[in-house]
Amino acid sequence: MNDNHVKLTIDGHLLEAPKGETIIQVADEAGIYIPRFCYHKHLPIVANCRMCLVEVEGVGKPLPACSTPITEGMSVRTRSEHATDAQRATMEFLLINHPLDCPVCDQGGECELQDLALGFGRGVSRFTETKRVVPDEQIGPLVQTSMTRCIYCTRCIRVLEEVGGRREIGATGRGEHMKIGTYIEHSINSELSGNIIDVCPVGALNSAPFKMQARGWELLSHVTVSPHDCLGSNLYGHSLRGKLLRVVPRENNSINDTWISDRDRFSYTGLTASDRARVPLIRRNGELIQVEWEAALEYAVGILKKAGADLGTILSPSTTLEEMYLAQKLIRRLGSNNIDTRIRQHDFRDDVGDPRFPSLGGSIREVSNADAILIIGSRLNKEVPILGYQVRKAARKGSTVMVLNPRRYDLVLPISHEKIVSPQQLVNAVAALVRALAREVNRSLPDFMSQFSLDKEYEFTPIVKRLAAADRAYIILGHIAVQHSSFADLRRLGALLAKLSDGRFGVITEGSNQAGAYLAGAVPHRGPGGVPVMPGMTARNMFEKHLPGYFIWSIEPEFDCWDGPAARAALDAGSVVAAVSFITPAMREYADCILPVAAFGETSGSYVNVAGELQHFNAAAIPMGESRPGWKILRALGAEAGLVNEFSYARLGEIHAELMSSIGGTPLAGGDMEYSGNWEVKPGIPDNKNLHAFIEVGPYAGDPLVRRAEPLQQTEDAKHSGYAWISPTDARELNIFDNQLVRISGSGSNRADLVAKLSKDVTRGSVWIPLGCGLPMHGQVMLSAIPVAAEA
Amino acid sequence: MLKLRLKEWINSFLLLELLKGMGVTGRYFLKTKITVQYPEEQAPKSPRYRGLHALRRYPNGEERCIACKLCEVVCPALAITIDSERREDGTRRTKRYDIDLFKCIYCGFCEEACPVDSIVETRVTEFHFEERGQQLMTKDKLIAIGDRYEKMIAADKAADSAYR
Repeated sequence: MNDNHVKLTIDGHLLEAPKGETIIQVADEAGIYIPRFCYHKHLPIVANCRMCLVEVEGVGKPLPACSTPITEGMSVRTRSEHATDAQRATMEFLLINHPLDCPVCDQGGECELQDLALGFGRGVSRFTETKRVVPDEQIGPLVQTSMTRCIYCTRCIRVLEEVGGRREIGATGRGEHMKIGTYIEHSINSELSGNIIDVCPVGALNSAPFKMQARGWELLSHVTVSPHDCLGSNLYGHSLRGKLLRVVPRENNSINDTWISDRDRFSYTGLTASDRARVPLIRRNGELIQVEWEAALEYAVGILKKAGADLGTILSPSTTLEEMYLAQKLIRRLGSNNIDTRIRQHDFRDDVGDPRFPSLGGSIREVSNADAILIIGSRLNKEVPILGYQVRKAARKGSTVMVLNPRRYDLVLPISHEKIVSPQQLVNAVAALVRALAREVNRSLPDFMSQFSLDKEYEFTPIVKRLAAADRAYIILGHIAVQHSSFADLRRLGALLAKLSDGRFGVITEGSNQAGAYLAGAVPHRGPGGVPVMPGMTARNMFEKHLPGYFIWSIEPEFDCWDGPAARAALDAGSVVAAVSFITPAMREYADCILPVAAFGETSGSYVNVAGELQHFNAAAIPMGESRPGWKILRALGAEAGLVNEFSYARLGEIHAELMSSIGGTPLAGGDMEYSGNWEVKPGIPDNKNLHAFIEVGPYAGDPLVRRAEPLQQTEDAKHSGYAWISPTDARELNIFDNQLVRISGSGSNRADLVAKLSKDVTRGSVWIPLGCGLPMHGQVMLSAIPVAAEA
Repeated sequence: MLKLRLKEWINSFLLLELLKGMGVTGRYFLKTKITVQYPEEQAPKSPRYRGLHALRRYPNGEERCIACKLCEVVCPALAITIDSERREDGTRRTKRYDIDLFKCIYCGFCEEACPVDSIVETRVTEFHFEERGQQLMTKDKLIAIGDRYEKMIAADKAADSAYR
């Protein structure tokens, strides 16, 4: 027998388990059910509900199974009279103040209290006195409270503290007067706040958008995967009569444990937006008119064929693997190599040195096991909330978390060292860090390092010392780095940092399937299987060049592309086939053919996440209106283009199998982040007196679906993104006050009118603006106050 | 055997069977009559009679149904379809409540399941459909029936309450 194991019996079953585990853990493992409310396997143990009381031989009083550690020879009885008496008594007390409103409670039918009252409670109540009423809390647009129903298990408090990283709610008072709440009324702003809905065993915390929509028992559950971030959190889509009504987490302990972000949970609310594309439209005599699918497909193929080799195809990075594969197959057969999914990337100099696919450079487990993590250019917790949680987990285990950002963000992480440099200086700062680290570990630097300017000194000693000492260092480049106009340099420097600290290096890609795009051949320099091919144009080139024809897939270029105004100009000039789920007003002007595509939850497919895991998912709902799953549209386009034999797939599985044969098995996990090749280093953005505008992609602005998710748009996070954020020093010089309307003018006629907000978190010389305001992601701007019309 | 046949043959001349039959007729001729002249007359019905469905209101005019969907889930014939919504005043209500009377087997489970005595089966039996689709009882129709027969439904419920 292993020394670290003890033997015990539970209900007569002889069991063996590692020392230090508690009775409930061993019982769960053995399939013996012990009733519980406050215990949750991923949360700290508090033992305050007393529902799991069991009888332990030799101990007079019943003991809580969740917090009693197992000992050698222990004999536990969970169903003895002594134990059930204790459980029944606990249940009776819990029900004293619990209202009898199950018929109107959204938890009804999937309520732990209901289930346990049936299994472990009395048949009738002996309580005839008045029940207690607790006023509700207003905690934001996502979670609906009904505090009278609360049984004070405190799971929600622990979820927000352990998973969300901040104690946003707590318990005040004792006994009869205990209350769960925010104390001072405020909304819960964690990006993982929706998880309190799942852990609440009663109906005290319910999903606000789902309120009174359906009952748990009538919903059909479908396996699905998050389309919003590169981790691909595992989800269940719950639908009723073909309509997606709710999204809940699916446990996957290598990605998201049992948690999901609010973005994944509530984005489905955007599916019913009024601007959903429902019918095929084509332009005739300058007007978009509704036509049959056949006519629209014929028209679309006409445009694609006419553009031929000069066709520009831009796909959303959240397109499924199968759709990406079919799209590239179609346009490459039509003679064009111009296909890209990297819509918010600007710097493609290092395409030649790309690894097989961009990745985190390791598994997600490895991130949470790293002992030093350096985050460069990322608002991690809002960009990829679950990765933020994994880093938080690492920090809790003792990892040092360090940040090098172009703007101070509250990452809700215990950050040991933080360095904020202006976005213009980000590349030089990382180069300086590389140099300092090389000095520290006594290693020589590659030649290209001499090309970075040395004109500014940075103090990096604590970060360097920690990286050099770490056994498992992890360097993570975030979205701000990916969108940076010197991304290629940042990426090469990041990889170098990891090499010097003998750690790992990863890039958080945008969209949910950027890795898949490389493997499916939906990037200009890669064919199916990720093999290098004769490179076509990148997304940036396609818009800069003004091509005769464009094929856009599930994107809204004026929001989703690096240079929105340039994209708009290019699309205005060329013929455009737009296969989209939502139609923006601009699209009605430039698109010549709109094919309605099924949105998230309405189509089956697969994604490759940033850790190289291939995940399949199924459709949960019926596509709205006449929209069709993307792969069927591409199949029909292929047949219409005369490629009947090559596009004669009967099922989605056939497409997948064809692609997988070129990928060759699934040796994907991990992914190699070595960068090879050589390219000219770009001099960083000159850090002169000029003001530079940088677009901040808000947590709920990243893709067409979340932009339409009404509840998410009402959150503080979404509101926070809608301003022009500027440093107080710059504002003083420009004579701008907080909350003043300002005009930000870029090159040409690009300009945006926004409300200015002053913040010390912003560095001098930069102004951060929201997505879709009519300016490119980076650019030099002029800022001027708009005089308020004098009151009459 | 032969003896029995002979006895029957002799008895047949005495018309005993005929008299026996006439005796029964005579007895019923003198008894109280149970035949009712439908539709002018109606046979009495139990307060528990399970006939046409109705949705009831509270005396203040508020509809009772809270869209808990227990009737929908208990219905063995899957005759009930409900869509719930949050009404403007924040209460839980149905925006659709359909009973397909062709599917319904009049088992009364919906009435048993209802926590607020909203869906009931009245003692109304006189209904018919002339066109396809009319058998689908919508919320409006069911509430109208409830409004029309509320007095009777309330009396039936009161009469039955002692046994529940």
